[in-house]
Amino acid sequence: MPTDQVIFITLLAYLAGFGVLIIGRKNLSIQLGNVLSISINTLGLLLSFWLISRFRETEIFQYKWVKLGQHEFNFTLLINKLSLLMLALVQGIALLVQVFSLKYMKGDPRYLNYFSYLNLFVFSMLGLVVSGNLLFIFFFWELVGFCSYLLIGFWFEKQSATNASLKAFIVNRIGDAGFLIGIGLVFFLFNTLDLELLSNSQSTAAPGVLTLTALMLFMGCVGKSAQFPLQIWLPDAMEGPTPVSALIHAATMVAAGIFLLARIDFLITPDAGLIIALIGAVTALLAAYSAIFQFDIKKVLAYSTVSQLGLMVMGMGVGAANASLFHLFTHAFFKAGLFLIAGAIIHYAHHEQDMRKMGGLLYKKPWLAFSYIICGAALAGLPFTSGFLSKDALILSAFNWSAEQANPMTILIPLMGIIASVMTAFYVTRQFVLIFLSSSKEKIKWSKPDLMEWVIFPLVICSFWLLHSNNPLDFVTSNFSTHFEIKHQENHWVAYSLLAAAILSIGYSYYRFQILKKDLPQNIWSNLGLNHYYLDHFYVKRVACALVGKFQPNPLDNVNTEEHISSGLTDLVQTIDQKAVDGLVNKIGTGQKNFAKGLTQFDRKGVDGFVGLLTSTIIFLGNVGSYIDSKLVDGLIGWISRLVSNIGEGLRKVQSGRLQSYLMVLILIFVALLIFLAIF
Amino acid sequence: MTEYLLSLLIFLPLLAGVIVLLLPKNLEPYSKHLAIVVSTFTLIISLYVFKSFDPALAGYQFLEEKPWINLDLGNFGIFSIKYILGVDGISLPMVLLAGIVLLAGAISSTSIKRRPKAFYAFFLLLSSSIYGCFISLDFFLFFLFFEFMLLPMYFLIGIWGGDRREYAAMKFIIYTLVGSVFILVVMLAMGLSVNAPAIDGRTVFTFDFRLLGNASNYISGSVLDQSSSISWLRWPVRTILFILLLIGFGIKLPIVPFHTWLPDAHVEAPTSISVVLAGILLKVGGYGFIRIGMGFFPQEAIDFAPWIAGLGVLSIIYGAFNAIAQDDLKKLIAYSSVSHMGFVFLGFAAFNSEGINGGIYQMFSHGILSSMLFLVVGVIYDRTHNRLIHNYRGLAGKMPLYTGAVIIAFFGSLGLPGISGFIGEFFSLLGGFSSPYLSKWFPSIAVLGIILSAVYLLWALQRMFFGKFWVNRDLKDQMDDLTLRESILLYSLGFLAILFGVWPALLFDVTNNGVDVFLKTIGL
Repeated sequence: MPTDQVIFITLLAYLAGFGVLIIGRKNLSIQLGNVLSISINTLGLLLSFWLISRFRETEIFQYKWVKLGQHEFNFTLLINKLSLLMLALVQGIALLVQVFSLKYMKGDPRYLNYFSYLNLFVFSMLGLVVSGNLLFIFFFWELVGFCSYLLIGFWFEKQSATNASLKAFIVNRIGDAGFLIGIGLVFFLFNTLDLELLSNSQSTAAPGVLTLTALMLFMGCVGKSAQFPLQIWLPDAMEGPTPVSALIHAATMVAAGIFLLARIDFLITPDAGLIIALIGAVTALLAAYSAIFQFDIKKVLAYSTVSQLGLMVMGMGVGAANASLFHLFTHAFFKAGLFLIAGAIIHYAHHEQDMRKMGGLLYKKPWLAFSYIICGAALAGLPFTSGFLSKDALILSAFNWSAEQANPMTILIPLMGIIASVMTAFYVTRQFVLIFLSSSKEKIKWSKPDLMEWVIFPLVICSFWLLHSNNPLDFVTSNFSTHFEIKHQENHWVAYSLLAAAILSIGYSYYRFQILKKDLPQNIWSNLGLNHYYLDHFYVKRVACALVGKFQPNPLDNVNTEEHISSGLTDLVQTIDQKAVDGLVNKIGTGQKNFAKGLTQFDRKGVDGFVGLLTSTIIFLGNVGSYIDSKLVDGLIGWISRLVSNIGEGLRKVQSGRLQSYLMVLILIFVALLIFLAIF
Repeated sequence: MTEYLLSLLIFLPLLAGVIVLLLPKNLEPYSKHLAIVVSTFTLIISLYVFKSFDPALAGYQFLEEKPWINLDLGNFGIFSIKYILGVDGISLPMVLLAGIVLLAGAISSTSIKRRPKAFYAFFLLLSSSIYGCFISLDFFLFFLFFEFMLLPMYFLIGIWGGDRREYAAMKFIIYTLVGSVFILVVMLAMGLSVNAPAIDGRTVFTFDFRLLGNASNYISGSVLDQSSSISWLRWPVRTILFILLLIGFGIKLPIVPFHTWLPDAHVEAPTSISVVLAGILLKVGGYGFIRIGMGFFPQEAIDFAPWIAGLGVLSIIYGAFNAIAQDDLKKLIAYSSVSHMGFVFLGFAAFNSEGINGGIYQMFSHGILSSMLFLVVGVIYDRTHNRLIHNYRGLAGKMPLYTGAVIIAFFGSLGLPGISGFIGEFFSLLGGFSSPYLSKWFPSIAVLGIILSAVYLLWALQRMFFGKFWVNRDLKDQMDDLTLRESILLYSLGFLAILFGVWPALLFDVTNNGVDVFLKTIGL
């Protein structure tokens, strides 16, 4: 079977899954829905393995979509190693998440809605990874954002959940607006949006314009992959069901930004690369710092995701695309694993997410603890895990890149990455201590591992080095590197120093939280971290309020209605619109009317207002020739003014019940006009 | 039979209007059935025309041409006004849209209880003149229909409207009449400047669209001769007349700052009339502007491209800002119309294939989506007679079907790919970016519109539909989910929006050639 057919079967299966589940959300039995959803996913996964096994060379398929003028906008399938890798990765994680959700979402009143949204998400995400032109990447890019919106706000009765989904969508839109400008500039410069054609074409445009274009496209990544300064939506997105966080907001959708950069890496100029790397490194550092101070089990992981995405973006900026993709790949497994562990704990703890109220789970849930140790170690970048390989590749690439740069300040970029990685080791340990070691506060009972815990098992396996490399300490000989070449890097001492620092930081963290039982201090630095530098506060309280005005809960109501207490820019515009623009119109209108009243006093007698108007209109139209000769301006004013007052008059009469006759007259005149003029 | 199809589009509703008016009292309830049947028929006709239109052929198809008025002006010449109908790739989508929107309007009118006979007579009269506007190929005929749309609309708002209906109706008619006067001036000037082939050696002045577009038909030395140097206040007359057209059609579109009639008219109009108003009436402005403004004044239009685009961008941003500030859902949607129609001007001003096709697509898609949006408002208004956003909360839990339709309409309107709104906006913007006549700033600022539209639509969605269910206790608590009629109406429109969102070639195949021909005629 040709590759494109396989891809279409996969895509259509998910779309059909979405359709059937959403239409049958009330009538379909839950078991049937489960079977349907899981089997579609399994089928898709098997097909993607099959595609990988028979992969020979990059294939491109074009389907006519739209042709405008000389430009064709086709739907392009681009099937290369990267697409296939993502195809398998997305569906693999999705399958585990779906199985996990069987138990996690059990009893939810909108259970099948949930699975239908998941199907739609996988459809959109797969569409994104196989698209071979920017138009369709954007197409599916927005669709995954839409699914994310639906799933973050899945429990829409919760105010915080709907706030989070709104914020996620709007913040993403800001990024997408930039992305759209980037697409427009690409089309302007190269006259095509097809990636294959783009990669072969040379532009004569000034390097500044190319850099701007690349940065605009990067804006999309800033939104979707939660990079500074738009990272604020991702921690809030944790309001969604935890399996969703694992799938969408850790493993796949947020990585779409990285994927996009990998697709367009030939468009990234060195200057743009520098800025991209800088933003990535800054994000990594800021988010890692914030992760240290969080108490919510999911928020730690959310900030950690932002931080890891920052590292990947940094890698993309320094031109180490394959190292970034490697990290994307390994990160997907261990971070999905960590989220599912968190989900399981939240489930057992009856939706308690505060880590201070947890503890002592090591003996009650030893399997979860073991999984956490492996996945956490991978996140912290310890040897014998997948994270070690990919993180080393990233940091070393960044370091060696900066060594080649003329500007010595570029060393700051890998340095920030290194500090972020050391902090990662610190907060992972803190989280482990708080959840699993510190004295028990939760009444969670020991039980045999159930479905949810077994599902984590494959992710734990994938977090070991074995899947990725025979040699646990060398990324150059990794399996990944044989397909996506990662160059050998000098200066291995950097990696070893990083490892040493990470181990020290783990030791310190363990000592502080487990032995000394000393929590973090409450001061401005911790508050800064906890509230993520008040960035969110700034956006919501300052920017948003400047735009739409302030709202506060209405104290008189027992429901959550909000009262508008101060106005913002939009209210100002609205006032201008009503008072100035419309006010002017009304002013003119009233003036005209008064003027007209005076004028029409003369010919009021004997002329029924409305019929008079129509007659004069006909005369007016009939005497077109002579009209030109007569003074245009006078005629115009008289006409308008008569009209104004006559219509007012007419309307009053209509109100008094003579409507039918007017209507008849109207139609008769219309018909008469047609006939009369025809004969004439 | 097929040669009179287009005439049928005009005369069928007109005839039905007369019949409705003549219905005896006891048959009055059947007027709505008649209106729906006739609207269905006209939709079928327009679908047939759409299907059998051959996009490969240049020029107008389904032509009907009859001499109508020959005004003998003695030595001066002959004024020839013809009854010419025809469609091309630019008007055809509008004819189809008219079919769809008018049927939706007719069906949703069934909730009108007061004086149905008069209502449907006006409604059918309106339908007739709307079709007439899009298919007439004689400036005079076009203007006749253009004017005649106003009167039924005036009564439909003025009689069946809300509390301030008289004010709104008055404002609507004065505003649009001012616009009409501008267009009238241009029409007369054109009529006096364009020559048709002479009859018996005498000059024949014509309003034929096919002749108006050709520069060689202009009488040399006349006001509108392209090489004429006649000027007024140091402005060339052609430029002045173009500005008149820009304002005249701009009022209809509407374009900021001539938009203030729209929110009032919408808020006061009954649901079905809002549907027709936003769905199809506004498109007459866009259609007229491209056909007459850009078609007959190409050089001026190109010179003014930054202004046209600027007005478009201003409308996008200004309309969106206003929409954010609204608490009345209907007003919010009315302002969103202003914002979305701005993309039409932006696309047109690009003067390339992507932009103009995108602008036309945007008109079509806005027709479907805004019909849906106003129906959405109608649903809630029918139940509680209150449209203020802050009176509702958490409707999603209680009215899932309704919420589904709202999500399609809202997301379509904010430009989610897969729904038709995206195609129109995307290609308008793309045209803007690749146009040699426009600075990149225009589309770049217009892109902000897609952020703002997400803000006002999703914020309204969140406030009204999410959270715990609650309706202001003063309102009747009858928040039942959609009735069968409402579901069919909303979901069929939703289906169309999605169909045209994933398969834009349905429309682009028709418009593309029309636009190519259009660009060639104006010398691009």
